Formats: sequence, C-alpha cells, structure tokens
Amino acid sequence: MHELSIAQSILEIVETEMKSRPKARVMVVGVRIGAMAAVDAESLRFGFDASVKGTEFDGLKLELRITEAERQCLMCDHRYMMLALESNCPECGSHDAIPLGGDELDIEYLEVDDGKAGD
Amino acid sequence: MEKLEIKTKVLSENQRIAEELREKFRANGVLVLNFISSPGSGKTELLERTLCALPPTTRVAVLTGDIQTDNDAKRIARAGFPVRQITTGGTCHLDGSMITRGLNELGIDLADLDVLFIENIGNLVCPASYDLGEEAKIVLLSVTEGEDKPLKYPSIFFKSALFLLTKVDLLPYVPFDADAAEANARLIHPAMEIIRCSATATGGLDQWLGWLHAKMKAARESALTASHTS
Ligand SMILES: Nc1nc2c(ncn2[C@@H]2O[C@H](COP(=O)(O)OP(=O)(O)OP(=O)(O)O)[C@@H](O)[C@H]2O)c(=O)[nH]1
Ligand SMILES: [Mg+2]
Ligand SMILES: [Zn+2]
Repeated sequence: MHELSIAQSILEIVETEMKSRPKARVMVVGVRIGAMAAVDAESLRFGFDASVKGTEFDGLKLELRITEAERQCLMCDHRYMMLALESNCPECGSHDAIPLGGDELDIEYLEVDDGKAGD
Repeated sequence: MEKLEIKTKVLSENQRIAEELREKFRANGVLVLNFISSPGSGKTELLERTLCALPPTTRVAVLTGDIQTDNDAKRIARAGFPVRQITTGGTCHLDGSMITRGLNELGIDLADLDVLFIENIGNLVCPASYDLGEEAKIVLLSVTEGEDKPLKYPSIFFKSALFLLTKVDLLPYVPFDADAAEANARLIHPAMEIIRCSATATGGLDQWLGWLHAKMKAARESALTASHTS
C-alpha cells in the first residue's frame, strides 16, 4: 500500500504551492492517475482522507481523473487508447505498438478560496 | 473560488533524486538494474547465482530491500561482494533517497563500480511507481505463480524492459502455460524482452547472463563516448 506515501507527497506539493498565498485556503486538489501508474484510486482516497484529518488541510477534497494509456501502432501509426488490456490496433489489428503514456501521476489543479470579501 | 493549473508530478521529488542518480551512474558507466517481483519469485537466488557466475574482475555491488530482516543481504554476502541491506521498516517499496543512503553506506566510489544490482521489496505494485535512477527495471515472475499476472499487474510489465520467467526447471511439475504468460506480457508491453531462466538447472542462466554482459558493455561504452565528446 504505497497510496499513503503518495497521499503525503500530494500534500507536500499542496503545502509548497500554498506558501506563496498565505491568506488563501485550498479547497480542492485535482490529480490525474494514468491506468499504468500502479495507483489504486480507492486506496488513494482512503489514504488521503486519513492524512488530512486533523491537519490544516482537514476537509480538502481530492478530485481524481483516471486516464487510459495511449499507444501508437507500429504497423499503421494509428494512435489509440488501450481501453481493454487485450486491445490491439482498431485500424489494422496489429499488436505491435509503442506506449505514448499511461503512467502519469500528476497534480493538475488546485481550487483555492482567496478569502476576498464579496467574492 | 479560483482554479490554479499547476501540472506537477506527484512524485517529482523522487524523480529529481532519481534523475540525479541516473546521471551519476551513466557518467561512471555503472549499469544499474532494479529487480522487482512478488515475494519469493527468486530475486535473491538469481542474484546469488549471477554474482558467482560473473568474471571475478567484475566490480559489482548489491543493495537489497526488505521490510524487516537482513536475511537476503546475508545470503548475497556469501558470494563475497559488497552488499547493503535497506530495511524500510514497513514501506512497501524502495525510493530514490533510500538508494542515495544505501550507496553512502556501501562507501564505494561509483568510478570503481561496473554494476549495481538493486533487489526491490517483494511486491508487484508499489515499486513500479518509484524511479531509482536505474537503467532498466527487470520484472521476475516464477512458474509457480499465475500466467495472468501480467494482466493483473500491468503497470510493472509496462515499465520493465526485461521480463525474466523464473524457475522454469519446475515447468514439468506445475500447470503453468509459459507461452500464455509471455503473450500476456506482450499485450501490455509489445516490445518487452523476455528470457526464461532457472537458477538451479545447469545452463539455466546462460541467456540471462548474455543479456547482462551486453548491457554492461553498452553502459561502459556510452560512458566512454560521453567523456570523450565532453
Ligand atoms: N526450483 C527452483 N527454485 C528456485 C529458483 N529460484 C529460486 N528458487 C527458490 O525459491 C525460493 C524463493 O527464492 P528467493 O530468491 O528467496 O525469492 P525472492 O524473490 O528474493 O523473495 P523475497 O526477497 O522474499 O521477495 C527459494 O527457496 C529459492 O531457492 C529456481 O530457478 N528454481
Ligand atoms: Mg529476496
Ligand atoms: Zn494499426
């Protein structure tokens, strides 16, 4: 279960990002998980909620976006999503392909409440 | 509410350490391999036998990860090469900072090394996320496991350059379909290199040792080229 360490890494980055905005409060953190990232969404949510409880980030919401791995066919250059593990090229049926991604684990955005009255 | 686009890798700190390590390894021509498998697939056994099979002039060191004990380090130390156990005390994977620490504890100058083997914690999931600065990840799967493992744990097969199918000496005794296991791995990673091996059968490691020698040679040569052109 490395999702707890990942939750902590997310919080460290949030903390660093928020240093430059001491008056603002972070409400949401958006994270992208590639299908090949070896990160389980449910475990990550669990680890994240456990990590924020009772800290300055208590109540911080984690929004996850899970993205499929993309491949490029070596026979016909077609780019396609590896939706099922068994998927081969939908254009020519070939199995030979190179990965174009899939192991992403990125913080994409923060939603912050900058506490300005009248907002 | 304001939305800030930030686009940062969650593991960017580990990535930074890993890139730093990789640069040093490459500059010194050290081939670094990160061995990953479920508990008991044969990582330590493979390393012990490989160490004994290397020419005695090979300068090699081993870092071996374990959650609790230093048994694996003791086994490897019998081969007479420098080895350091990294005990993670609960963490299910090695990370870049543990490698930096392990190297300091080994106390070896990278210039005096040809190969560094890293035995990761027995786990097919978590180690996949952490770059250790290695040249290649190697995933081991033994014939006493299921041939559908590559489909159940796609990430590590996706990220490993080489798949070692281990304990093939047991194939006559277990209902394991080796061709299906290879086909499953290639569904995830079409260009993956696959070698069948046995640590116990005579000659069972020859193909693997050939792969290793070729990689060591390539690491040495690219370091030489880099030092001549810079
Ligand atoms: N028959 C046979 N047994 C093997 C082979 N390789 C390893 N074994 C046995 O499998 C068992 C586990 O091997 P290890 O090398 O300790 O496995 P490991 O991957 O290092 O295990 P952890 O460090 O606990 O994750 C040992 O009893 C080995 O002797 C092989 O090629 N053939
Ligand atoms: Mg071991
Ligand atoms: Zn195609």
